[in-house]
Amino acid sequence: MKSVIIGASAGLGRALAEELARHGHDLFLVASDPRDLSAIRSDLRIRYSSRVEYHAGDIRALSGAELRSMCNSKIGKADCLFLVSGQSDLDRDFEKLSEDEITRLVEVNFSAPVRIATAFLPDLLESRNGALVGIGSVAQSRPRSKNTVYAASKSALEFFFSGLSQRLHGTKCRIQYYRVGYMKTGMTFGRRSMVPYAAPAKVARRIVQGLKKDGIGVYVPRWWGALMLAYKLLPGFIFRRLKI
Amino acid sequence: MMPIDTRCFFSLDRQSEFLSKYAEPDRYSFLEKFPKTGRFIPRGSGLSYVAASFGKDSVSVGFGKFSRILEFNADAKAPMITVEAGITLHALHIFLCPRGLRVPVEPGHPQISIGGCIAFNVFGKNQFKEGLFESCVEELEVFHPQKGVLKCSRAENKELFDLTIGGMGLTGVILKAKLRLARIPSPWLRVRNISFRNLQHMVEVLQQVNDSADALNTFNDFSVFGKNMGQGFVTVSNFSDEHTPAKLLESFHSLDRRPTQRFSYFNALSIPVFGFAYRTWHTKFKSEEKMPFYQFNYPVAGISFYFDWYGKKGFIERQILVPEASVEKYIEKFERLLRSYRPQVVLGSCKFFSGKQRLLHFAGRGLVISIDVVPHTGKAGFHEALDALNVDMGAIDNIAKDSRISRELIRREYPDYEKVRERMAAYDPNRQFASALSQKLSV
Repeated sequence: MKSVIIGASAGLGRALAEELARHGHDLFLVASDPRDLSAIRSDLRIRYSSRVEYHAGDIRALSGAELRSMCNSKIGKADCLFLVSGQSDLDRDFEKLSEDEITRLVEVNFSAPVRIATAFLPDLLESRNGALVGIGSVAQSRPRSKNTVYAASKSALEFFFSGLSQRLHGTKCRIQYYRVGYMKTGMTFGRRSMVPYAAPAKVARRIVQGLKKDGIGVYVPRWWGALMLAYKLLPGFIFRRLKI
Repeated sequence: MMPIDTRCFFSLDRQSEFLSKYAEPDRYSFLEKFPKTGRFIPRGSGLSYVAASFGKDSVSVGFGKFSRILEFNADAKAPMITVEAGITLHALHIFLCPRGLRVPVEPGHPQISIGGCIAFNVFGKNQFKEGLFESCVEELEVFHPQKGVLKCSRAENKELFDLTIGGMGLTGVILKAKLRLARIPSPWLRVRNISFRNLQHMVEVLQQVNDSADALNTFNDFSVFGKNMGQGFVTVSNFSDEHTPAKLLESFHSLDRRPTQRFSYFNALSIPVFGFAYRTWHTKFKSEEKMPFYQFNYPVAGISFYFDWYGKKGFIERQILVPEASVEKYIEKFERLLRSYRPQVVLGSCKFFSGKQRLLHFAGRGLVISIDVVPHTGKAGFHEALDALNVDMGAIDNIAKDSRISRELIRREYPDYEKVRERMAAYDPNRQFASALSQKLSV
């Protein structure tokens, strides 16, 4: 199996790279810093004897077609594509964000993943074990006054995945979109939460286990589903008063 | 800027506790974000007995995410591995042991990071054969915010290499380390326990088995104050010739957590019972056994509850290196001291050391005596009296083990103390890296 991970330098992307290498996948990793990618490549090659290649660049500037051709020439046609990259500004939203920052958030969380997914689609459809995996967030479960541009972009991405899942019906390509709960990553470092943070390695294990199934809007860890259901069922007049 | 949090850190012996600022980078872009001014201290797994990876005015920078293997050469005559310094001994063992290799010098807990091993130039169960951790370090990459990323080895940037090994993290952040590896004949060891009557008898037994053993250490019972003081057993370990795969312990209890016990289980009543039971079990029922290398190598992994059993007040570990020429006299005076002050010593252990003492390294030729003491027990003044005995007999205390150690004591015990201070000041006049320990010792 050959897998592409977009956003592989740290957190869930890095954990997925390790989990996939453990399962014998060849990997093509994409992220912005070559130093991180080079270290992950060496580690996975040495520990799991996997074939690992990478390309360093800003996904906003990368063409999906170019990435696909680079992947084809370095490890061969992809079977699985993991769109992990994401960016959020937890402290600022709405008028506090500049136009450039809004554009960046929408591009990283929505437009770039859509472009890349579309470019790789022919290879995924051709594969016997094709899978397209998108990573969203529990933040998109219900609109609120914080992190809204990020959550809206991720919701748009889920919408795209929902449409694509209908397009892929009857093909061998599986499609999954996960709403991932709080994880111990650089993005959440130092933030206090009433709910526990999940380890990226555990989330990665769950995602790799689910590769053979379809699923849109699946919560990982699972208990987030129950929590978010209660959250969504809160009457509007109460919800609007909450400072969350 | 790196995101910074505030955390409560404590030393393993629970004698130091600080609220400290903490950063935990997970990408190499932290090198550009690292502030050029301010005080920092690298933190590996944070398992030091003393306040070495945190301080009141320093930002602790955790490197646990930098834990990858970068190069590995197994086929050559001299096997080598290059790793990021945040990798733990456990992760390395899991990788190396099935390939018939090991890091030649390893301390007793698998959660310890390679960066930590370098910063304290640690030793293992085979110090008399392999020396200190420095013996397996070939090359380092160190980051200092004012100087950038520097490579150093015995041939290049020698001064930095020399100051970084055993430098308590004060020269900067160790990013990468190239280590020499050793082959292991088998993933199994044959372990024999030989009992002895007292400390004098122990030295005789150690001398008899010293040359033939791959590793040696002892258990000493210091709860008996009569003629059998220090009785116990020598554990003689040799690699087996069996080649069946040994079980690799995949999980262990982390030591980087708050103590779970409020009160100590150790007291004047329980310590002698514990000592007797432990001694009897190992000499009468388990006098010989076959042990997987992991279990042998990391004995603390299976008994991490031991540290909790001291409760909130923790313990004081004294680790003393007695020069070979003074061993007999020292033992006599040490025993007299214990009889007179009667501290509650839960665990005692001894081993032979080799090599030459320099800088602030815990090294030299002689006998190492380690004791874990319940704080504030026995007649007051035991530790001060032991300090005086050490200075008088030319013995040295291990800086990495004893939280109560003072600048004055280190100055008197370590002849190179002033030299180390001068060299550190010349390397980094602004002292951008400092911990509670280094500030206390004025290093």
